[in-house]
This record gives sequence, structure tokens and C-alpha cells, in this order.
Amino acid sequence: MRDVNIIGIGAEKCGVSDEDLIDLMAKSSIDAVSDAGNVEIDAIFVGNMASEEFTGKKSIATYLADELGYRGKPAMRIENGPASGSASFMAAFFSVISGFYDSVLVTAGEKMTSVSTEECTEILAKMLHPVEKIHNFTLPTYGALLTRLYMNEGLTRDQLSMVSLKNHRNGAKNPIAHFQKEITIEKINTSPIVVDPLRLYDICPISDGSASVVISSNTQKDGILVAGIGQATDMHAVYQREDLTDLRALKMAFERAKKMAKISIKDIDLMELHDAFTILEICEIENLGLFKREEIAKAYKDGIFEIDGEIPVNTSGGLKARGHPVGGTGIYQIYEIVEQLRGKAARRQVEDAKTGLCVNFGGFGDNVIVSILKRS
Amino acid sequence: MMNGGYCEHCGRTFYPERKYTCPYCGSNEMKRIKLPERGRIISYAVKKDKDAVAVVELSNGCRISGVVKGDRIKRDVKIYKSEEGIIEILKEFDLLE
Ligand SMILES: [Zn+2]
Repeated sequence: MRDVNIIGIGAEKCGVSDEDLIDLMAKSSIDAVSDAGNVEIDAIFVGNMASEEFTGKKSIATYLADELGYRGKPAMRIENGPASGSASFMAAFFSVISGFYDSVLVTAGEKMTSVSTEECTEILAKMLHPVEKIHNFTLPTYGALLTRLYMNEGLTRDQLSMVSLKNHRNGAKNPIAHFQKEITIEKINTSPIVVDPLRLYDICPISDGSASVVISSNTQKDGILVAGIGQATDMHAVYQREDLTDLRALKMAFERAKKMAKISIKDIDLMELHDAFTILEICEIENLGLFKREEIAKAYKDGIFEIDGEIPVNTSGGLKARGHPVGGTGIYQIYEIVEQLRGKAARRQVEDAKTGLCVNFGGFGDNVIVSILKRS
Repeated sequence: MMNGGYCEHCGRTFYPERKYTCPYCGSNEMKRIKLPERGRIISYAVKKDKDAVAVVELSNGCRISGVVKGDRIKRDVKIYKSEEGIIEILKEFDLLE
């Protein structure tokens, strides 16, 4: 199999945007293609979860191809919940590694602020199993259920708040982050309870945004190798899992990506994790095998996951501070790792970053994609 | 009494019943069983101005989700399914009997 490289990236600032989904997508696409030296694009893959509900528009891939002046070029949209971005990346990767296409554009985004917070939660809850739906479960419900399990075992409010604290601190250094302001432990600890024990600052914001990458069989300067990619599913009705803290799909996806990249966890220099809820970052660190449950709080306190720490996590600010335009998040994560591996992350730069990992959840851990990128 | 599924291959029970396969092992050898009415709360979440919701493990190991009725969360609970198909988790079953 041939090497597949990321040769161009582009991203719009996450946040509350005045622009339509198509404009966000067109802009990040144009930036990525330009960053790729205006290479000839063979096809477009579009990641988006819910343009129908959020914007009333279907066939967003055709629309984007048309706006980009790509008449005649193949285009398709891929929906895979909040892992739509990574799924479109994965499909694009298959198309290039197989030799079917040489260079393709992947654009993933979401316009979410067009609806109220309540409507947004409703739209996102459509990804749950019907039995969960009739009991009014939402995604934050699962965030709260998981948080309580950790708290029952001794995780304190202050320890949980370390996640939000770090991610806001990193977001403050990221020009495309939704929140670019540091916050205090007091502010996190006294923020309103949304679903007890979850507080507002345990939950990612509702963001608009679009990010793009160009992947190619070409090798050129600054090319970042797609070294490994893996996906796995778990039971769709999350309550049925034997242990809610056991992220089986993450473990399997990581094993597959690691095997393909022929690396061990010690080779990974930094990670973008799916912190839709702060507890997920902690749970993912545990399930990736980085630290045991009882060691994690101390690791946060010791600064292990900070930008200058041993294994930086969510240097972009993560979903919490960079933002979570659901269908777009997977590509935003890849964007951050590419900036880091190129040495272009400015105030967020991780020293001598060679290998980075992204974890994108398409649901509450029931569909997980892990990507490993390497400086070539 | 609530119905659930029992997998003759792996011996596990699940709710709701399924048409094609066991969610744990993928076998299609399943039969309908009555689920026990008692279990323990694994975790719960409390929404503003709404009933709490919980994940409960029934006494045979089957996991369900449902809405908690009452004002205090107790670990041991009794389960009831309403005509609308909502699973109600009754916290103070000892007082109800
Ligand atoms: Zn079975």
C-alpha cells in the first residue's frame, strides 16, 4: 500500500457565526486547497451530521462541489454522528490508499447556532437508541451518569474541574477556538448544574464551524503521514454495557490504528481527545491505557497533560474550548495535530512533536474512530 | 411484569427484546423471559425540573434504563412499566409493599 499524506489544511474559527454552513465549508475548503499548493482535486468527501435539522438543507456535498466550481468532480457526504468528520476522513483515506484517487478534499462542518439550545439537545439526542429516547435520555444524561460513577469512586469536583481548566487555558492560545479565555476553578465549580452532577463547564459548547484537509499520494514539503486509522462500534443502547466506564470501542479502534501504524502508546507525543463532557477526557485517558484510574487525578495535578507536559492532551482546547461543531470535530482534531507536527502551533506548540493521535466519538462511545498522524 | 430477551447461547438477558440477535454475543437463539422486578441503581442523573433518570441492574444482571419516581434515591429499587412503555424506577419499594 502507498503512503497517504495530509498536504493541506484549513479551518474557520469555531463559535457563533453569522455565516451559513455552505460558506463556512467553502472557506475552509478553499484555504486547504490553497495550502496544498492548489493541487488537482479528484473528489470531495463531506462530513456533516445534521444539516437537515440545523439548516433545512440536504445534499450538502453537491452544493459544496458546485460552490467550489468543481463541476463534474465526484462528491459525497458521510454521516456518522459526531464522528462524521473522522468518517469522511477515513473514506477519503481509503480512496487514496487504494489508488482510486490521488488527491482528495475532506471538508467537515456543522452549523448549530441556528436553533435554540433545547432544539439542539433534541437534535443531538436523535443519535440515541429509541429506548433511551422514550426515557428522555440525552447525551448530557450519559455524561452525568458516567461522572457520578467516577465520583462514587472518589473523583472530586476540583479534580474533575482540572480538565475544563486546562482546556480553556489551551483554547486561550488558539485563534480558532470558540472560547479564547482562561477560566478559574471557582468559576467552573460554581457554574450552573445542567444535569446533576454535570455543571455547565463540564459540557462542550454549541458551535458553528468547518475544517478541511487535503490528503494525497503526493509527497511534498510539510506532508504529514496518515500512519494509522481504526474504527470500532459498541452496543448502541449505552445502558446495556456491562460497565459504562469501559470504552470497549475506543480500545478496539486504538488497537487497530496502533497496529497499522506499527507504534506503541509510548511513541505518541500528543493527543486530541473527544471531551464532549470533561469526564470523557479522563475516561479516554484511562481506556487508552495511559494511566490507571487512581493515577489520573494526580497526573492532571502534575501537569502531565499540559502543553509542556509529558503527554499533552487537547492542546487545541478540545471540544470544551475549541468547540464542537459536531460533524466537523474530527477534522478540527486532525487540523490541530497537523499544525503541531508542522511546528506551526505558535503559543500551543508542543516541543519536537512527531506523532499525534485523535479520538473522535460518534455517540457516547458506541462508534469510535482513532487516527494516528506522523511527521514524515 | 416486564418482558425481556434471554440468549440461549451466552445466557445473558437484555431489555428490550430483540428481533435478530443478542446484543452481547450476536447469537440468534433467543427467547422471551419475564424480567425480575428488583434491582440496584448503577448510576443516576438529575435533570432540572424533571424526573431523575437511572441505569439499573436487575437481580438477574439485565441492565435497563428508566425514569426515577419519588424524591429520594435509594440503591435498591423496584421496576414498573407504564402503559406508555415508560420504565418507572420506584425507589422506596419496601414502603409500597
Ligand atoms: Zn448472547
